[in-house]
Amino acid sequence: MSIDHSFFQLVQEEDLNTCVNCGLCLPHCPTYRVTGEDLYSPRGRINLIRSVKHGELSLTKEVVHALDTCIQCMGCEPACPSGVQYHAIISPAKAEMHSRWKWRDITLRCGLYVVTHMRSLRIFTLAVLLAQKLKMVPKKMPVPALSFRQPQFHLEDEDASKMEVLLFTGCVMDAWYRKVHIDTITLLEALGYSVKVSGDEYGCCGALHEHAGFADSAARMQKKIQRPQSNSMMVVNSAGCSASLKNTFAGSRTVLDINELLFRHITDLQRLLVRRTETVLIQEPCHLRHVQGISREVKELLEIAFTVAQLEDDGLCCGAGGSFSFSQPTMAQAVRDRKIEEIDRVIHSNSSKTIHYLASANPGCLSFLSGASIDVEIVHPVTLLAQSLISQNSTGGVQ
Amino acid sequence: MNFGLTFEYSEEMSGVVHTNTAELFLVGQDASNMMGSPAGVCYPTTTAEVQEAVRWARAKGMTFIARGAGTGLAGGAIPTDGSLVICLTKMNNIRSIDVHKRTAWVEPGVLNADLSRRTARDGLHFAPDPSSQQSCTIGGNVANNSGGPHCLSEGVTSAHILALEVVLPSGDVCILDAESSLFDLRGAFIGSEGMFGIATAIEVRLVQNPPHISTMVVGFASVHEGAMAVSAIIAHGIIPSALEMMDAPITRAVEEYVHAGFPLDAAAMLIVEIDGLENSVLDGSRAVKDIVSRFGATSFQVAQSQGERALIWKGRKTAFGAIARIQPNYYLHDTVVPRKKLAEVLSQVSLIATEEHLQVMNVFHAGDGNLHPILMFDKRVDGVMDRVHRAGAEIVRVSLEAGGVLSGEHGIGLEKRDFMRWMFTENDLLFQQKLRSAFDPEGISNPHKVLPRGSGCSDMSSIPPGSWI
Repeated sequence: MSIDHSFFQLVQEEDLNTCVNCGLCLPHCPTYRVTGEDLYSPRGRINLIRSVKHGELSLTKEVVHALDTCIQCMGCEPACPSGVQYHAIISPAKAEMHSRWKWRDITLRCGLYVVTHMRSLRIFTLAVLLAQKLKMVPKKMPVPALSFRQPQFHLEDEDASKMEVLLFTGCVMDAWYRKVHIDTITLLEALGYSVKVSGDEYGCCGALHEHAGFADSAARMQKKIQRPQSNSMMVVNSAGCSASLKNTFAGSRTVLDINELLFRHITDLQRLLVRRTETVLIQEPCHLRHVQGISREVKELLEIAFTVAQLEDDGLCCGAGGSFSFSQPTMAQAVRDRKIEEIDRVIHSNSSKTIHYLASANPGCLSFLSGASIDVEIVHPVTLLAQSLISQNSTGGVQ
Repeated sequence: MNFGLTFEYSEEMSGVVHTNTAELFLVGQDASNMMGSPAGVCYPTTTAEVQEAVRWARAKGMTFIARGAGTGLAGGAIPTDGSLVICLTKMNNIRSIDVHKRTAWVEPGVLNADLSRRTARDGLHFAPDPSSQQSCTIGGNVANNSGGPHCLSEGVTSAHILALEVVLPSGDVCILDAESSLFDLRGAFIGSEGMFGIATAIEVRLVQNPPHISTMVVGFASVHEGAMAVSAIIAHGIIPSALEMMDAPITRAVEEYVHAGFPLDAAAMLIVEIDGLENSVLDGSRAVKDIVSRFGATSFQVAQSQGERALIWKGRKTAFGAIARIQPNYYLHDTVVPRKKLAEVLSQVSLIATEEHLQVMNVFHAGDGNLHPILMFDKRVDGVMDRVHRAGAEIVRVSLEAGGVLSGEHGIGLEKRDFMRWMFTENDLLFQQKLRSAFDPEGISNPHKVLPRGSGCSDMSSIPPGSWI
């Protein structure tokens, strides 16, 4: 068998060498957890990439499948004692496969084009909405229930005495989760910020493309994002986007995930929020916990108003992974099943109180988990916090 | 259930037995530096399927090998001779937990840490806690009779396994326990490194979580003083639940990653943990403090919270992985020496490494004299493997000369197979081989491991490429 020596030359030798094959990453990998097969583990994938690069192994369909089925949740990175920069290994490898075989993922490429370009996204959203009204969309399709009456932004007038922040509205988040944006604005204004929205001028951040391995499209979008001449702090309420935008700006502009920013105001929020009786179960998005290291912030914020319950699965991925649930539905659903099992365990365990909400700070997780049958309402934590503002509750009761 | 292993070999290529190069390449390795040559891999989910796989391998004239998470360091899970790898990771159900009896029946693919996590709600845990416990399987723990920091007071795996359901190399299933037969074959099976058959269900003993724990981190100005303090603590009659030592280089490498506040200026540090009822923990901790100060402790910290304690253990248990921050490859050694010889052997180890121009770091279970010198190297450097092999052999030699043994917990596997004669007489080996043959007369279950060539009958093959020593 002839072996192609020209693959994965962009993956750096130093990054590969950091992996000592110890296997401590295994239980932190959602795809290893559900398969138990080395082929679907971080250690295995690194080993495959290294051997293909060194010409010891040919790029067989099994190798391709092993790499395709990596969700890139990065759960393995914080677990690795050697500090392997797994993203620096898997991202160029995936990107290379996509750029070499352009036609292979043409459906995914088209799909991503549609949902990340404002005009096509609006048409698509309208189509889905009509289909939903005609009950033609299968319940399991990971798109939230849409409404003809898209809530509008009502921003306070500009006030030079207040600090200005730019709410990054993005693509899917804006079309399908506008309510989370409105709630974010409510919270930010209550904290004394003057809020602007990024809108079409900025468009999509390219996180979905980058994640799927379409490096070229991602680069185009990242370029567009950097074009507007503004230096106000950018606030993002989608964990996948905030992780990506932090990289795009690499310090040239302050980018904060909403949970990070709100956490800075935790004492103000303790004053502004009412205490409620419900219990919230947290599902931590991978790009928040593993990539940005934001974990206790969400918990402590929600604890101001709610009783908080947590999953005991080390923040294992839910299977959404950007467009992963579309490109690898079988693996994604197996990973989700495991997550649902853990959620069900907590919901039905005798020790915990009745769970009223499942909170996740990422649209991908929100929509993918909505596609499964879970007994509780799935919401963005920002929505829960905004609903708990004293000002929102002055007219009586929680919505 | 029909597992599908009834067709001709060629037809199974795409079936239950996977034979693609990528998968075989991966299951040909574990956490050691060796590379095996499997012919196929399958993932049974029931005892019946394991039986079927074993019978199929027999019928094909193949050997077979059980595999867990592949975290072993002695090459015990390296498949030789075109073996069929029977990977048990999909058999990962906890079948039952009996809180009153404090026992549980688990399948071999259950991860060690998962079991303790699951029983934590009942205030119980599975005591053996190898450093790889988050990844390693209970089946692997049984095969290697694994230890761990907390085995100092609790005893190693064999003290925590009550019964085993085993698929014998003949394909038959039997239950091994301490009571139902004249001999304790359960005890014989634990630590047999996969040569006696495959455990498909394991009854474990669960122990109560201690009501009080005190975890101390003590710095010393020299490894010698630290080692003397270890001897003195045990001699005083205290049995800490764990007593671990790390030398300065490994402490620095680990601290960079966990930020546990380890003493970076110390030449050696001890982690001493005492658990039990509140007053005995207080007394014990006070006594430890007195003893270590007599040996010139340069720092003494006590974990103030469960979080701090967890961080200390995270640092200790992931220590070996942190080595890649210094060199890309390592050889994590495992020998045992009498406690009072610790300081002496450690300085010899350091000399050996210097002579071979290798860096060495030490992180080990000081309380039971179980050394883990880690030789660090970059295998791309010409001739380095020879130096590593020589240093490895030399470390075994000085440990045995000090009155120690070949392995504390990693097992013999392929790594130390040919050192067996340094420790055992021909008669010893002959009887070990006879015991093995009683379970596996044809030598088809994990062949070529543990027992050196010539000590018995069937093990006649070359060591796989890349293997050591």
